[in-house]
Amino acid sequence: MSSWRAGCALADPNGAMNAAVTQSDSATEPVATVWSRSWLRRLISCLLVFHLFAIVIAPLAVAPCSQLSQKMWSGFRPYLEVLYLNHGYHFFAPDPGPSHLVRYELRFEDGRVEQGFFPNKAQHKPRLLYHRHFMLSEFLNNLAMDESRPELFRAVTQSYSEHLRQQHQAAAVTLHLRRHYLPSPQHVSSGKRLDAVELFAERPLETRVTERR
Amino acid sequence: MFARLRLLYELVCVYVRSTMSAASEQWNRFWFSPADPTTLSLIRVLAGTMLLYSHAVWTLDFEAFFGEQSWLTRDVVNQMFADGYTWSLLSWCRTPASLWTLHLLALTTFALLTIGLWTRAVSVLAFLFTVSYAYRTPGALYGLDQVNGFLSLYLMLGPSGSRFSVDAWRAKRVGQSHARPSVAANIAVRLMQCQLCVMYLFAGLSKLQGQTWWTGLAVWGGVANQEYQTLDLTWLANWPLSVNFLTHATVAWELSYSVLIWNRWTRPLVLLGAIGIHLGIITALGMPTFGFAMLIANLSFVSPQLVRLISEPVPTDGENTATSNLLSVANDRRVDGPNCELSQQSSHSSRRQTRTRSR
Repeated sequence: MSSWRAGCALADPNGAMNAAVTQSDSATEPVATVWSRSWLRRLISCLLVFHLFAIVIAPLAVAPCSQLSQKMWSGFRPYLEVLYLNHGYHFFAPDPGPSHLVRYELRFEDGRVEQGFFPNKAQHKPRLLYHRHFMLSEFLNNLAMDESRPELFRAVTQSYSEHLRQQHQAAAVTLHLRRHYLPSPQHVSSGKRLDAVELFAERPLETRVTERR
Repeated sequence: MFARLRLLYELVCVYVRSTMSAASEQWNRFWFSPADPTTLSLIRVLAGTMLLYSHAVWTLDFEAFFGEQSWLTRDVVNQMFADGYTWSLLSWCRTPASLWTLHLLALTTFALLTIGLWTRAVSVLAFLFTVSYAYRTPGALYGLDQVNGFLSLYLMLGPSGSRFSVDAWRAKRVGQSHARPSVAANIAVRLMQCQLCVMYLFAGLSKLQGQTWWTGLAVWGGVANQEYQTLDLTWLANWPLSVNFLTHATVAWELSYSVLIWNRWTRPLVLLGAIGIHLGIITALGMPTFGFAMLIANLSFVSPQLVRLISEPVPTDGENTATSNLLSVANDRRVDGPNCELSQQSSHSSRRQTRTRSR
């Protein structure tokens, strides 16, 4: 029990803060004098309250949300965006869903056709670089699902295909969004693989061909 | 009747005044107590390493993400943020030479932050670079960038170079004490703690909207996702109750984090849960950088005394060892009380005679 209490003591930031006060009075004094000014404390307190409100409003205003949270988010938005704190923190929510890949077909001037896809574990290493490419394909899917900004979806699709065309010096590029559905536990128990053909569905993207200028 | 109403009014006034006074005292104690910057300094070393690594990886395909013909061109990014308040230093770089120069500067900045040289100035630059990279390629981001963002923001606010740094070493050489307890260190750590609580709370709340988090199958969704998977745990298909347990435990832990982490008895358990969950993400879900970044952020709840105990050689002069003192102090008194002397007993610099001070 005593070890547990000591462990709790060690993991106690509050204790730490107060313990720190006693650490060296001569060293702490100048700092304490500056911060003991009430106007400064009040000013910092106001900023802290504002900041705490802001970081709560950011995830609160992710759809589905109330009109009130939306209105409040509009007020805090400049602050949140400038400091890069405008996040929802909805990790794997509301449900872990299927993942998305982009398959591309490259047509060259000599008639060759090659294809590839991203993300690609074999090609994109280390893992962080793979994940960056994975997020690119997920980002495209999110835009495809979001019917409120079709022009942005088209622009991103064109940007991806133009990037691939330039990278491979191809004459044209066709993009396909490939959805990889999650297998059920029963599916896996029966011996089927995670990459079984029936788990994939593919659809061509609307703006999918970029002819060479 | 009037006298009774007046009495009631006075009671309400006393209640409001005492509540306000207590709240104000607690608020000041929470935010404005000078803190030992050791934990903040450790977070700087680890977060700096993470920033350096995660930005160094861009180098492998730098122009594909930030060049003129990148995955997301500058025009598309501008279209995306047309009505926003985003900004990026990288948007000003129009040529490959200027882009690479800025990238080199950014990597140097993160390296300097890690070793703690000119830390105050460098930490501001590190934040500017972190946000600049994020807003230049928004399609390639995920949780790691969010954690990098807030860690670099809060590191900028406190004296994160006070310990484990070249700055501290240089100060020591000229006989200056560089690791003084400071209110800024406290505010920086407190902000990290609050940010983590908000993060986990909304991670938990958002899961309540999903069906599979209720049916207990959500963890299976991670296990069976081939694009995420780095460790084959599909044998869990034959252990449905284990999948259910892990799913419910994840939600319960995330929802309770922001409450239980503040209690000194439950905090070690909550932190153990954080280690378990994030090690799972690191090993099985193929996001080691995100998992480690979250663990680094969780260090904000670890006391400077523990960091000192681990990082400094423990004095071995008979009975007066740090561990035995910690045990006796923990047994004898409230560890978070105003007269706590843990830091004297677990730190080298505490050999001096000190007097305790009530706050």
